[in-house]
Amino acid sequence: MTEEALKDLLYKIADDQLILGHRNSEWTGMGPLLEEDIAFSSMAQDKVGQSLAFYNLLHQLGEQDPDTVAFTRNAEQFHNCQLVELPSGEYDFSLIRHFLFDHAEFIRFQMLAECPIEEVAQVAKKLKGEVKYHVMHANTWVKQLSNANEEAHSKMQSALDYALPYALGIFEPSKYENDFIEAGIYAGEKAIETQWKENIHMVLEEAGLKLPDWDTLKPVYGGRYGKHTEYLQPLLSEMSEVFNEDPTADW
Amino acid sequence: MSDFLKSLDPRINRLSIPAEFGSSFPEKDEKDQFITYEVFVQPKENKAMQHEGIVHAPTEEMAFLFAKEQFSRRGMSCVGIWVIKTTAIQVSPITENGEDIYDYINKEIMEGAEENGLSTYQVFQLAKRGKQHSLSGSVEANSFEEALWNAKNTFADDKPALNLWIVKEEDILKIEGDEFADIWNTLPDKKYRDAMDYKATEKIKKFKEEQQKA
Repeated sequence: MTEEALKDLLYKIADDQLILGHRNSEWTGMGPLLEEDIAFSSMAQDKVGQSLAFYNLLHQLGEQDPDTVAFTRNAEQFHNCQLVELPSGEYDFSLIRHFLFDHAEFIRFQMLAECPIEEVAQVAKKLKGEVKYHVMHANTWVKQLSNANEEAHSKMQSALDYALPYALGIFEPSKYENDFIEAGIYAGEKAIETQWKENIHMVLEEAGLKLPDWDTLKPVYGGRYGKHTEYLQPLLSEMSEVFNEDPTADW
Repeated sequence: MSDFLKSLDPRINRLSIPAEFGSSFPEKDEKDQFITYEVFVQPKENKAMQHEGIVHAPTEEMAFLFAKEQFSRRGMSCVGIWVIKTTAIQVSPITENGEDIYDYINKEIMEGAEENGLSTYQVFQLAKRGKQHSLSGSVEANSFEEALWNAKNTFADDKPALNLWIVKEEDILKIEGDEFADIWNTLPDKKYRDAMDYKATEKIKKFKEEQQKA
């Protein structure tokens, strides 16, 4: 497997975490309950921290330093899936996105914890506990709201229906898919997707939410190759506003 | 003026607060708050589980989510959290002037106790005013009263206990042990959540000096 391939993998993981971390942080001060505000903000901060860990790995492979990589690239240079860049919307959508994304991320980190590249395995092993808690949080909330009154249930179902095609975009195959599998880096996107479908199915069943026939859904691909929605560039401009005031500032 | 106050603040937008209230106000709903849960945190393997505070939540599982972020978001380590519905805890009277509550517990308290089969009870005690209750250990008993009596025989010592909390094992949601240990894995790396980690004094001094020179 080439270094190019490894960088591609690390970039998509890091970019997903950074963009979703930023999106989720938009709820700070506006969460539905004070305690949940703190919990969701704390997890958003975890995600930005996770992206830093992967940008550091990329830096070791010769890429620019994490701040430069995070704050100076344009939208088309980002490898995140489109799911994470969509506007936060109402809390139903933010929760469902967090649920769908973190279930996939937990499987990914479990696989990468066994990766033969020691540096990658170490990071995945260390961070997967955080993601495990994020999944516990998501499962509890999805079940709580979906089993509440009719309005809550129908909002959760609509959010799920809207998010699912984008969520399938998490698993957009990389051009290096076979290289990863052959080198035993991880079992590949298809394998994560299969496991993910099983895992979310179990929780959604308890929540009384319906999954459509997977064959009827068209995954929203493109994010992994730099094709993004109109929402990413404004997010990046806002995120890098302070950095760009003085890119040489010492924090 | 329109029917609703206008604000860019989404909290106000979503609440749809009317611009003018009528002459009478509705009565307050009887129950418009979540119930409370007591949160206990074990900071380290060799330290006792201790009371950290209270969270409002609709269920035990939700209470755990809130507890984890309110009470173990900072600090060097955490190995477990217990969450107990406030009403599931029975409380002894509290003593004054360093008297030991165990001195007031005698066998007679068990008379007329409501027995409901042998179960495990956890005992928390308060060693000092202003401190938190911490876990002494567990006893087997048929009632809260018997648990109190057994607690005296098991845990009373030279150091006075000012107050006791007793709770049935089955009423505790425990998030601890190997299955959950890794959710606190990265806590030592999160010093950025503490104000102490931001040493700005030197930088501010330097900045002021430069301003004065200019």
